[in-house]
Order: sequence, then structure tokens, then C-alpha cells
Amino acid sequence: MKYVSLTDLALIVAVSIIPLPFALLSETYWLYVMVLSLIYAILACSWDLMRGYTGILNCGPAAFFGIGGYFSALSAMHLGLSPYLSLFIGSIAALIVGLAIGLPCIRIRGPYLCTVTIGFSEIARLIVLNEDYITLGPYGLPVPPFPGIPKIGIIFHLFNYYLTFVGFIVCFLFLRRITQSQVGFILKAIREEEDAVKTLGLNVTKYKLFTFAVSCFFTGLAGAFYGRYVLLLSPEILSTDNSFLIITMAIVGGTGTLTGPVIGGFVLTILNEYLRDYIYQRFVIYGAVIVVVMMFAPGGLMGLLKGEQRPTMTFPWKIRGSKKEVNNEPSNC
Amino acid sequence: MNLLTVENLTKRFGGLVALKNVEFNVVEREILGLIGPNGCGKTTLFNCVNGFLKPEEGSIKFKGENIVGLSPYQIARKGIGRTFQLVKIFPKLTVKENTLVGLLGGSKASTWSMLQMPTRDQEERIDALLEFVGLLSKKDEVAQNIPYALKKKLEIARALLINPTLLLLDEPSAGLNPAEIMDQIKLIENISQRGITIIIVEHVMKLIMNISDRIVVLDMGEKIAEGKPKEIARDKRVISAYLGAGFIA
Repeated sequence: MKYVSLTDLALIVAVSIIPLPFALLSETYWLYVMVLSLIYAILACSWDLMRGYTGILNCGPAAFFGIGGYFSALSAMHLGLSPYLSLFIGSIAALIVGLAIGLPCIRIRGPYLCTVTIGFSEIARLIVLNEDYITLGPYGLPVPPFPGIPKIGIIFHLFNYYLTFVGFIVCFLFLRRITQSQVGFILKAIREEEDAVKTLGLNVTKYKLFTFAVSCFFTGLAGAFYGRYVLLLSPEILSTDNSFLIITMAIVGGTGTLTGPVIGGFVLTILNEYLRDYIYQRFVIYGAVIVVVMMFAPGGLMGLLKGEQRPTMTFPWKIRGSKKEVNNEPSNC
Repeated sequence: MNLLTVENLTKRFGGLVALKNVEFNVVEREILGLIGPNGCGKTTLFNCVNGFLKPEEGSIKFKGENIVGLSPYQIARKGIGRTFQLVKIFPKLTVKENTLVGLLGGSKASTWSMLQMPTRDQEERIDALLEFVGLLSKKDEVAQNIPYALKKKLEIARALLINPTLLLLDEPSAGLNPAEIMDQIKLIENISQRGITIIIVEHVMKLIMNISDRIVVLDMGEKIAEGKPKEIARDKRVISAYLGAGFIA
């Protein structure tokens, strides 16, 4: 058994060559979609470490995404840091905020944690919206691109894609290292039965904070890349809509796999572009997608690919009288 | 020498007194039975010793050190392992992975040094222990798919891997058939022979009378008797607590 499986390798190779056909065809629009997909793949992947492994339901990943983006851009603009260094400033800022939110959240689980994280992401959005002397509020914050490359054209897109790809590789391999290692088993054990882990002499708080730190770091990194690529940060990226987009990606791809959320990130970003005409109905559609995935394929796309058996369907009108197994497991979402 | 000393232990849930001035000692290497009618506070006592609950009054001394107020993981690190009445295994992990988590808990390694795959040495220790409890053939099965009796054994195996000096077993034979109970008795005796002190909470008298060196009886949160199994079986207060005053011969 090695840290990286064949599926992971296939995925990395696929992700590394996917923009090339579009570059050859000079399809800048599709190149743009690909870079966005890759950024969302990092987001969904690091969200999956929290939910799919440690079992922490963080419903406000977009807040850390925005914090990463804004801190990175502002630190480069006001402190004159190099844009590459500022990527880390953004991630570290997200990590610190993640720990600050994680610490009081350790004792709460499930829907309570969900409420707290949604509340926090809304607070973060309102701060960005209202502290306009530094964030420029609703006008959005213009961000300069990485120096030395043209602002438009295929080179710009490809450069950003492969720079983000470096971030993606680091994120994916680090998360894979964690999940395949001894720590990974502890995280999964915390997801399954927290009390039992405590009686084994393991400090659950420490491992939960570790998860928060790692996940928020990479979420912030994705935000920093996003700012440098889209060249404009707006409070919209901290919205709950964006959080649930990330969550939908991870669930559709299959939580607890890391590869699934990456695929989900690509599939849903592309779908998102097709649904641009239905901007208001979009999230109704995503809600329906989550319900359908939970009912018919709880393992998501990865579960389907692995040929995971889907649970016997229990329609509401069938529950009475049918031999329904008593299920004490926590729901998947 | 006393391994565990419980003194004046009182635990209240609001107005309800779950434990009232409970006092007892556990001598090193003995098997102490803890019995009493339903709701008499046996599991509450375990939860106090183990750190899940904080008693209002009294002290619990383990190896001469007061452990009241420590968190469960710190108490586990001092060498107190436990199992649960309703098994709390990690259902979606395999048997091997379940025990691995126990081994890691006992190893006290840092997070960074644990960022590697399980080593051969660890696998060997897990295999040895799984063989000891008789689970080696089920090593790679997902824990939720193994029979209930084996789940109970798995929980014991996991607790043993943290190298406890004191093991708290909460109803190790609840829900098992007679053959499985005999098996469980053998396992508990083997564990005791390894030099581990054991406290057992149990309702199955066949098991508790057979293997306990001493028995403590609780009723309504109070200790009503303590002594050798044979003395307990004849004790008037115990019979009255279990069956009612009319049954005292």
C-alpha cells in the first residue's frame, strides 16, 4: 500500500492535461472555466477533510475562501509583499481565523456546528461589505495579476492554471498523506465514535483543531489564487451560496474520498456555467441534486465508480411493513 | 497495594443523587465485580472514574494520585482503559484499523510522527493482540459486519492496546448466548493473568460469581455490601435489594 493510489495518479494526470486542448483551440472562455474548476477542486477537497474524515460539518467554507483572498490581496497591496509570498499570508490568515472559530466549536456537533459556521460566514461577509475603507465594500477590490505576464490571452490563463495546479498538487498530496497515515485513522475514528476515541488516550480537541487548521489553510490558499486570477474580489465570494456550492461539489463527488470532490469541483463548475441563464433557480437545482445523490448514491460519483452498493430504497410509503434495518449511523451530510 | 481508591464519591444530576458517598478500594491484579439493580449508578461510577462525568464531592485516587477533574484522554493515558455497555466500535473501519487507533492512543507519539502509514512493528503488535482475543481471522472485515459477540471482543482488544493497568468492563457479556459467555469468561481470566486489574459491571451472575475476587454491591447510589462472592450471595441487604424484603430466607 502506498500513499497515492492509481486512481489518484490518473486524476492528477487528467487534471494536468485538461486545459491543453482548450489552449490549442484558443478557447479562452473554457480556459477560464478550467481555472475556476481547479480552484473549486481545492476548496471541495479541503472541505472533504473536515466532513468526510473528521466529521466536522463546516457550512461556511466560503468565509475562509474570502478571508484568504482578501488578506492575500491586501497584504500585497499595502505592505508591498511579493505576490507569491502574499499567497501564504492569505492562507495563514485563513488558518488563524479557522483556529479561532474551531476552538469554541470543538464541543458542538451536527446542526449546531452548521449554524455557527453559517453565522460566522455571514459575519465575515458583512465585515467585508461594510469596512469599505479597506476592502472597497460592494465595489469590489481590484487585484493586480502576477507580475510579468499579460493580463489577457492564453498565456495568462495557462500560467494561472499551472500555478494553481502547483497549489492543488501540494494540497491534494498533503491531504492524501494525512488520510492514508495513522493520523487519518484517528480522524476517521473521531468521525465514527468520538467518546470511544477519548477513552483511548487521544486528545480529540487537538485532532479537530488540526483538521480545522489544515482545511482552512488550503481553503485560504484557493482564495488567494482566485483573487490573482479573477483580478476582482467582491463580498459575494463569502456568501452562503458559494459555501453551499462547495459543499454540493464535495457531496456530488463523494465525501471521504478526496478524489471525488476534485471531480465534483470540475463537473459542477462546468454545470454552473451552463446554468448561468437560471442564476436564481440554480441553487434550487443544486438542492435537488444533493437530495437525489443522497438518496440514490450516498457515495457520490466516486461511490458509483467504485461500484458501491446503494442502500435499499426506502420510500416514505414503503417504510411501514418493509423490513427496514434500524440505522443508527449519522446521516452523511 | 491499592491501585484505585474511591473516597466519599457523590454525583448529583440536579436533584437526583446518582452516587452517594461511595467508597471502595481496588487492589492490584484483582478482579472486582460491581453489581446492583438497574439504575443503581454502576455506569455513572465508571463515567466518574473514566472522566466523562465530574463528581461533586469525593476523590478518586489512581496510583495515589487524584484523577478527579482530568479529561478522559488524560485519565486513559494514566492507564485506565474502558469498554462500553452498548459497544462503541468504529463501525466503518476494519477490525485492524479499530485496534490501530487503540495502539496509537497508547503510543503517545506526536501528530507529526504519526503522519506515516502503520509500520510493520505496529501491525505485528496488532496481530498478536487480535490472536490473543481470537479475532485474527476477521482482521480485514469491516467492524459493523462482524457478529455482536466479536464486537464486544474487539472493544476489549482496542482497550488493551493502550496498555492499561486498570480495565473497566461495562457489561462484557450483555446480549451474548451461554457459549459466548463462557468464551468471554475465559478471555477475562486471560487478561487478568497478564497482570491487568479489572473492574467488571455485570448482570450475568454466572460470570460475575465465577471470576470476581471481590464484589461491591450498589443500590440507589449507595454501597450496600462488599466482600467475597459467596458472602455476597447470602447477604440480606443484597437479596432484599434485588428481590424485595420478602425473599430473605
